[in-house]
Amino acid sequence: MNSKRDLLPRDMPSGMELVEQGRKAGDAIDMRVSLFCQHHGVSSELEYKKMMAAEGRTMTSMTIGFQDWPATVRGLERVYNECERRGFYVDRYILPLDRRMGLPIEYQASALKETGPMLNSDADWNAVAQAVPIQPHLGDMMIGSPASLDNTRLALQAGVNYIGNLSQFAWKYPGWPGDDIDQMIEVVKSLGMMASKAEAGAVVHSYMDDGFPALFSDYCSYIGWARFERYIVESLIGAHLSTSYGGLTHDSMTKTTVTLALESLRPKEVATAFYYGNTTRYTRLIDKNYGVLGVDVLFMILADARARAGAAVMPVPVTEALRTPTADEIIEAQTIARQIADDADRVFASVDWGVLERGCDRLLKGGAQFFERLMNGLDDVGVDVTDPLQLLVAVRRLGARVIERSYGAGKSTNDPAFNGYQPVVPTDTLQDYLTERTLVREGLQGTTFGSGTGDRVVVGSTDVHEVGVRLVVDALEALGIEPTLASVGVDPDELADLALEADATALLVSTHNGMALSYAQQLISELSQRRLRVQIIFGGLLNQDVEGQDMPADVSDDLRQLGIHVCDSPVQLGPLLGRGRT
Amino acid sequence: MQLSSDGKRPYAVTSTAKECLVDGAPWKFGLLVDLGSTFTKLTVVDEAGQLIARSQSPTTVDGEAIDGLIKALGRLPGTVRTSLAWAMCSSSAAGGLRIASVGLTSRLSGEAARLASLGAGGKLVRAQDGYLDAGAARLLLDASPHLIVMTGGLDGGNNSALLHNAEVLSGLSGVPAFVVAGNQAVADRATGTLRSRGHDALTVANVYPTPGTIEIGPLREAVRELFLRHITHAKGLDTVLEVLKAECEPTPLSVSRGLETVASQEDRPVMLVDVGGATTDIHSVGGDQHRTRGVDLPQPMVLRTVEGDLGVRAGAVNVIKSVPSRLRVAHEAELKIDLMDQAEKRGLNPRFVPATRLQERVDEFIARTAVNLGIERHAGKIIINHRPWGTRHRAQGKDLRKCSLLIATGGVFCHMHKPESMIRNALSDVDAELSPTDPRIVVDHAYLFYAVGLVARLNRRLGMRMINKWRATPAASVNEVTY
Repeated sequence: MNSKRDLLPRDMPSGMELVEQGRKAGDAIDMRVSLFCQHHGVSSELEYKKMMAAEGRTMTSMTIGFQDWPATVRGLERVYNECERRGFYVDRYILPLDRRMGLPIEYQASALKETGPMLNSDADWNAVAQAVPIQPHLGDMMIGSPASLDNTRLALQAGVNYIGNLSQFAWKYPGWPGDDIDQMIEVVKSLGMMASKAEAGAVVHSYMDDGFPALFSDYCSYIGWARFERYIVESLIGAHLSTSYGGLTHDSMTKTTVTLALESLRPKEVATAFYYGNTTRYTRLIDKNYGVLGVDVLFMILADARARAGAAVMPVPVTEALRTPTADEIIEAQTIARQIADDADRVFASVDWGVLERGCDRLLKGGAQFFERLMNGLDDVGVDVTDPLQLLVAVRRLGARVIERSYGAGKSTNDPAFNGYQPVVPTDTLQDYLTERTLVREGLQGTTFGSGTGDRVVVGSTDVHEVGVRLVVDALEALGIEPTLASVGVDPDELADLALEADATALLVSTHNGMALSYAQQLISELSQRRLRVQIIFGGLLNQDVEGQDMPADVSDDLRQLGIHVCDSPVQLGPLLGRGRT
Repeated sequence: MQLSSDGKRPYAVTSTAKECLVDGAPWKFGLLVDLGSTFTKLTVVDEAGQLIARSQSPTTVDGEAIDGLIKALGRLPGTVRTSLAWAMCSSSAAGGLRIASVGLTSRLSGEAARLASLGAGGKLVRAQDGYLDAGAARLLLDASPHLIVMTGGLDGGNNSALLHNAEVLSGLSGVPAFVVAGNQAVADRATGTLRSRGHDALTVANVYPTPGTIEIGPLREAVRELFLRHITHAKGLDTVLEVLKAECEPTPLSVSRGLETVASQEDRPVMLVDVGGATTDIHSVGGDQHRTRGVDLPQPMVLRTVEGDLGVRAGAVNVIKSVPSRLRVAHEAELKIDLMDQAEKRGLNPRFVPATRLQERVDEFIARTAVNLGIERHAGKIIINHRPWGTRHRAQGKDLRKCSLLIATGGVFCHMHKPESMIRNALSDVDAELSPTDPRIVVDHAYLFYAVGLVARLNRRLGMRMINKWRATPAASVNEVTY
């Protein structure tokens, strides 16, 4: 285990003094009332949510953010008007901002554009809560980012009450010259600012699946982490916290159980921001996605009703796996959700809540163990567990996987599939991986490695997708091959250099970023410059963005023409390897 | 053997450093000698790590190294001189240890070989990568290296390059020694090929054994051994080492080890800038790296970079050439002087000492530029590559932003008015995102770090005690006698 000396420098500022600075800055802020709240005669979204929970009305939320802010406003107007025409309204919207918004303004210009709009002016900020009577929610690039304090102030002034996303505290922001401590200083100050407005309805938001929990393999760790965040935000700093979750879990029973466990940690005076619809079960086959959406939304509605959480259900449009959904696709998902909400009451009584609550107890017990072990562990290495800055910096430096392995409720294991940690309640992400891995291993049974021993395989990914690489490594290990790992985000020249050093006989390339063909052409050129004859195998999403077309084109045949082997599943690796070299 | 500067007062070193510092034989004073290219420097230390005395004398260019040592010894107080129990020695005389490196790919094993060669205290005179042909071998030989470091192939990976290159290089004559630090599967065979043709060659652990790792420790030790075996002899240091009962290692290696000793007491990275007459050396220990990919070569924890063209005397002309013309014109107008003319004068006279305030200011300008460029090339940068398959943000090199201590050493600082503010000034416009932002700046007036590094190799605790004494009073005067 690390010592404090390894984890934290000696000269960190006092976290509680930073909270105080944030509080003072918050005292000077006037919180505007949004158009939506005016419309419903309330002073804050929290007040509205409590009212809806008491009435038993299901709220819905949507994510909407197009190329820029004007296009987003047009989309909001379209959704509002069409839903009104259909006889219902959407309660709130989540604005997914460009990552540059997380940088202090002086660094935004030199950083690169990513997806999502920017709020560039006072007029933009003013319109966030006034353009349409739908309550805005600002999660991405706010609390957690280097610009935490400024963005929190701007959001509060604009009439936004739920501001996050604390789970993003470990995100990195290209173009930011500061380090992790500088970033956490801003986070802690912004939490202090939120505390100063708690009475007025300001709620810190955290979406579990954007943070460390997404890297955990045990749902007990989710619960333990939620307790850890509540300890910092509520007990130490005195702000309200809402914990949201949902996108990465597709098993509706598990999702309901985890949701209920998270809700049992919630103080009564706070309402939850949203439950996020599942995004991992969607495929390119749109028809199937409607089925996923229906079941998912139903269980989210039931969980909210059971917990009286005041959470808004967030139905994910069925096209989300293909593209940024259009306004009409959002309207469709909202219409479906509203219809299910109208019918959900009749289902509620038929659910066996006892089974779900027993599962919930198991999660809470494991979560309590995680939390206590984490706090004791931090205390043992000398971290001041009453200082929010020290806590955030320490856990960020430890990282999610080390934290779960060291403090999780499960057991340690040497099984490489589990990264050293055997979970109590495995996450869907882990289970999906294990299922796929079993399929791969079963598929490879009896397969012999074509070119015999002595072959060396280099594995790399053109983008940041790790899961594909992990599955390929598993498949190779099942074949008795220990690959050389080039890791993720590797360029063709780098891959060719490593192939030369490793004397590779095969290169396995995982790609998902719509540039399979141009990458392959460059790779072949780099290998040829090094006079390397090596088998090339491509797997993943083998497509290429084509100018003027909405959808990327499949380039599998073009790759084959270049002499590249196309691999649809790791199961095919056995027969493919050794089949020949380009 | 006894030494005498005047034939009347004999003084002697009674034991080896190992007998006193490792085996525990009693001693009063130890002598640390640095045989530099310009000056022979002596530092005397006691068991408490206290600096007892210092002296220096010009290293004779044409004569024997022993002459400079005898003169410097003669300048030590008599009571000290007669109580020296042991001695240790470093040397950068006659241009230092010339190393050429050979790797397979420039980005991976080739870069690892270069970093390791510099880390071992060498002066990198030539680097060749790939499968060498006769022309490449000739280029290596033309650079007159004292030794060649050979790498190539991950462990268990490419073996043909190392074997091929060993075969090609075995035909060379005039290279005293080789270190083979490549693919372990064939490293001994490559070494065998070199030895079979009469070369002295050592096999050490691969400097680039697996993706994402660099291992320079074993190579450093091998270079040290070969330096002692061949180069000290070539440079005529044998007599000095015999009378001192001492071994000798390259000075930059000692300095690096000295900085490591300081770093072990700090939470954050530390740096040392050594501005010499002909070159500027930058050492750093620690510093996070954003390294997550197997195809990235990490920087070694102990990193040394050398700006072989930048210095305040022989390197002054190059420094002035690298100054943007706008800046140069402004300074020339302010100082009313031709900077290139001044630089050339310094290049012709390595022992030039500024006599006027104006000459000091010219020295300051040259040193400031050397420090600025040296740190800029040493520290990490954020590289943005726009590729058809996506934009890549890469942090290359070490993140030294949180460097807590920057030590400046070199004669030029000793003559300077407020050297700390000059260095801070030089830091302020370094064009490297990951360079130090606000370190404590301390000038090493006592030229201590080679001495700490020498001592720390055998007795780390004594090295730490020397550092602790220095920290308490970095500018404290000792019994100092210069020429």
